[in-house]
Amino acid sequence: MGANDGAVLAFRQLINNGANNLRYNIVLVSDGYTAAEIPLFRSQCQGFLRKLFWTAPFSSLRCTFNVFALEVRSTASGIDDPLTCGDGSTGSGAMPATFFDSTMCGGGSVRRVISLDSGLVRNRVAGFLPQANSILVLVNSALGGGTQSDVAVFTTEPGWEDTALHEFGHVLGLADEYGCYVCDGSDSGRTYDWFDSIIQGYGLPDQPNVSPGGSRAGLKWGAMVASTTPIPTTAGSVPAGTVGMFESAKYYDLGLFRPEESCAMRNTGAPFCAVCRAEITRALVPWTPTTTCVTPTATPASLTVDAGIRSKVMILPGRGGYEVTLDTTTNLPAAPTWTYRLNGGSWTALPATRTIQVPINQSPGTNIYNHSAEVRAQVGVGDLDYWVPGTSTFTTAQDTDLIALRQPNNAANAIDPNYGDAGNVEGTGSASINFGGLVAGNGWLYVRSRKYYTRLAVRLQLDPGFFGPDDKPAWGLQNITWTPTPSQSSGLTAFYDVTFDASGLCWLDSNPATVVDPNVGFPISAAGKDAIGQSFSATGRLVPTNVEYRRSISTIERAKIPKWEWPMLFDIREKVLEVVFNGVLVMLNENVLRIGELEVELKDARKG
Amino acid sequence: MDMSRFEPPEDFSLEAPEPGRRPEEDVAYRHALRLTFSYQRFQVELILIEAIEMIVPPSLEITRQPPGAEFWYELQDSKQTTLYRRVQRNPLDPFVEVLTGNPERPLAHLNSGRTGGEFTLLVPILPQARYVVLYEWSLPPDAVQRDVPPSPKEIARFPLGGAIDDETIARDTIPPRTVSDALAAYDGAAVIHLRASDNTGEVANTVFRLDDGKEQQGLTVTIDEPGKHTLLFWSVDRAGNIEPENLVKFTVRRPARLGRK
Repeated sequence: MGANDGAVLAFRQLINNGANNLRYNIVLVSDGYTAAEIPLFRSQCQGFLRKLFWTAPFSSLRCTFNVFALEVRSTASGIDDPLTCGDGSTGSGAMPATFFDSTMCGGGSVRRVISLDSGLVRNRVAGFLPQANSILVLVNSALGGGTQSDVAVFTTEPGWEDTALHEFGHVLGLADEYGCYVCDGSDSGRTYDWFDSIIQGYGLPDQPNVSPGGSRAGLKWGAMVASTTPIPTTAGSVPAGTVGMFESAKYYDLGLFRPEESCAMRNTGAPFCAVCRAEITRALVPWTPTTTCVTPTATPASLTVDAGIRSKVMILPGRGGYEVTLDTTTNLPAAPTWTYRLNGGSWTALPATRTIQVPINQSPGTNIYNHSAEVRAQVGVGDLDYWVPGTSTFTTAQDTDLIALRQPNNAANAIDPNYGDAGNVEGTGSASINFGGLVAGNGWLYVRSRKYYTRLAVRLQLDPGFFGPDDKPAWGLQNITWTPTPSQSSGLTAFYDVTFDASGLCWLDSNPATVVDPNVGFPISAAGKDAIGQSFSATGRLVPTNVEYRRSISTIERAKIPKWEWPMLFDIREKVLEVVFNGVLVMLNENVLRIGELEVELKDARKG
Repeated sequence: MDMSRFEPPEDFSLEAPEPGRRPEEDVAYRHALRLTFSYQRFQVELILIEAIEMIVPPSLEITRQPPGAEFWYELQDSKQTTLYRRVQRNPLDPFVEVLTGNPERPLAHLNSGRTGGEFTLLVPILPQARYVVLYEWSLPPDAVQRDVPPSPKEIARFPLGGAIDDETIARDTIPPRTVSDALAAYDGAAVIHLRASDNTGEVANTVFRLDDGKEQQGLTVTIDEPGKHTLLFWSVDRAGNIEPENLVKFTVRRPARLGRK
C-alpha cells in the first residue's frame, strides 16, 4: 500500500488572495477517495472553507489565506481499520489500498489516532507549493478519528471542520481550555500546580488565553474585563460572551482560568472567545494585507419568478386551466432543488420544464382566475462558498408571482351569418324560383311562381376565454340553446331554413310570422356552457343577403341557380327570347340559353 | 538549493512588523528556511534545509527567561546568543489531541504510541545564525521536591548557514530529497518540475531518467509524446549521498485537434 495505490490528479487553488510568499497557505489533501469520490472531496473542501471563513476572527481575515487542494486518487475507498488495537477496541479489519496509507489505531494504541505517510504528504505538497503553512489531510471515512501533528489528519466524521479550527488555534499559539488531559475521568478535578504541569509535559500556562488567575489588573486579558464583571467569574452568572475569569483551563479544573465560559478552545463547535479572536488576529498579522482586503459578505440568496401563461389545458374532463411557465432567476449556485405551490398549498417539485397546470375550476362550479404561484429554490450548504451558520437565508430563496388567467368575455362572443357552409344547399320538390316570367321548381323552371327556399348556417364565435371545439375538436360544449330553434345544429353551428320570394321578403321555416327583409334578417341568440362549464351567451343576426349564395347555395360559381335544380327542363314557346331579370340579361337563341355570362346548350327533350 | 539568493537585504529586522506596516514591506520575514527533522524515540536529526521565499512569523520577545511552553526552538549565533525564538506544541510528544466522540468531553489527549516521525520548523534566514536548537523543559530524574527547579533541556542542536563547513558536509550521511509536481495525466505536453533539498542546504545535482532514456541533469522535464511514461529522479548531495530513486508514472494525452474551417 502507499504511493502505488493511486495517483495525484490535480493541484487546485481554491482561494487566491495574492502571492503565495505573502499569504498563509493552507493545503487540503485527499486520501482514501477513489476517482469517483473526488467530487465529494471537493464538496468537503468547500465545507471547510465555509467553516473557516464564517468563523470569527477568520471571517475578517479571509484575505490572509490562500487555500489549495491536492486531489489524490486512491485505488480503494476508506481507511485501514485494524481488527485489534491497544485500547481494546475492535475494527472492521478493512485494509483499503490508499495513496497515503491512512490507518486508524495509528501507533497501535488508540483507535481514534490516525497515522499516515506524512513524509509522502509533505513531499507531494512541497512539489507544488513549497510555501505551504498548514497541510490538512482529509480521509474519506465516517469513522471517528484524527491527529494534529506536523500534518493534520481528519476523517470526515461530523464536526471535523470544528476540530480543524481548534487545532489551528493551537498552531497560532492558543492553549486548550478544557480541564482534563486524557479526559477519561481519571484526571478530573485536578488543581493547577506549576511543578506538576511541567512534570506532566504541559508546560506553563504561557498562552494568552489561560492564566493562573489573580487580580483583575494582573490578568493577561484584564483590559477586556468590564469593571462590573465579578472576578473570578462563575459560570452562568454573566451573559454569554462576557469576558471574565472562568475557572478550569489547560487540563486543570481548578486553579487555572480562561476568559469566557465558552470558547472553541474548550468546546469544538463553539465560537472563539474574544481573547482568542484577538490572539488569532494578532498571530496572523504577518500574512494579513492591510491594503485592500475586502471582508467577504455573504450574499443572501435571491430569486425572481415570472409566470407566463401559455396554452389552455384540460386537466380533467370538464376541468380546465392553463399551462403556466414559471421562469426563474436566482443567484444560488449549483443545481438548486426547485419546488412550487399554488395559492399557499403544499410544496411540490417543480417540473424540469418549469411548466405547471393552473386550474380554473378545480372545484366544480367554482371558477377561479386569479392565483398566486410561489417558487422556492434550495441548495445544500455544500453548494455554497460561504455560509452564515444558523440561517437559511443563504441556502433558500423564494418568490411569488400572481397569475391572472384569462376570463371569458361574453360581450366578445358573436354569431356570424356569413358562413360558407357546404351543407347549405338544400331543396325539395316544392321549391321554386321566379326568373321574371320563367319558372323553375322541383327541377323545373316555371314562369310566375315566385319562391324557393334554402338552408342557411350561422356559427357561434366564442371569446378566447371560453373552452370549445375551436380550441380542440374534442372539447365539445357542455350544452347550447339556440333561439329561435334551428332546424338543425351541430357544435357551434346552427342551420335555419329560409324561404325567399320574388317580392323581396324572406321567412324562417315557412313561418309567415317571421317575414323580414332579407337585408335586415333575423335575430339569433345562443346560450349554454362551454367545455369546462363556463356560461356563455351570444346574440347575432342571420342576414340572408349577407350569405354568399354562390357558395352556400350552389357550387355553380357564376349564376344564382341552385345546383340541385339541374338538369332543368325548359318549356320554350319562342326560339328567340331576350329579357332582363334583376339586372341579368337572359337570352335564348335557338338552342343556346345565356343567363348573364352563363351559356347553356339546350337539347330537345322530345328527342330523348 | 543555493541559499545565497535568499540573503535578506541590509535593512532586515527581527522585530515583528510595526503596527500599520504592511507585512509585504517587512522583507526580513519573507525569506525562510524550512527545516525538516526526523526523530526516532528521542533521537532527532535535521534531514532537510529548504530555502523558501515565504513569510516567517516574527520571533517571540527574547528575554533571559525561557518561555514556559513545553517546546520551543531558537536560532543562535556563533556565541549561542539567541536571535530568533518560537514556541509550539512538542512534536516529539506521543500524546495527541483527538476527538473523543463523547459530546461531554469532545477532546482529549491520548498516547498514540508514536515513537518516530518527521516534523518541520520554519525560521528566517539570518546571516548571523549558526545553529538551530530545540528545547523542552526538564527535571532531574530524581526530582520529586520543588527545591529542584525545572530547567530548559536542549533536545538537539544543528549547524546552519556558515556553521555548515566542509567537515560537517564530509560527515553527512543523510541523502537529499527531491520532490516533483507530477500529475497522473496531461493534456498535451507534460512539464514536470523537480525541487531538491538537502540537510546541508544545497544538493550537488539532480538527475532524472525518462522512460528508457539516458540520465539527464536538471530540474525540468518536458515531454509531449502521447502515451504512458515513467520518470525516475534523484539527487546527490555534496557529500556524495545518493537519494533513492523516486518514481512517477504519468500519461500524456494527445491534445484535441482543431477542426477545419
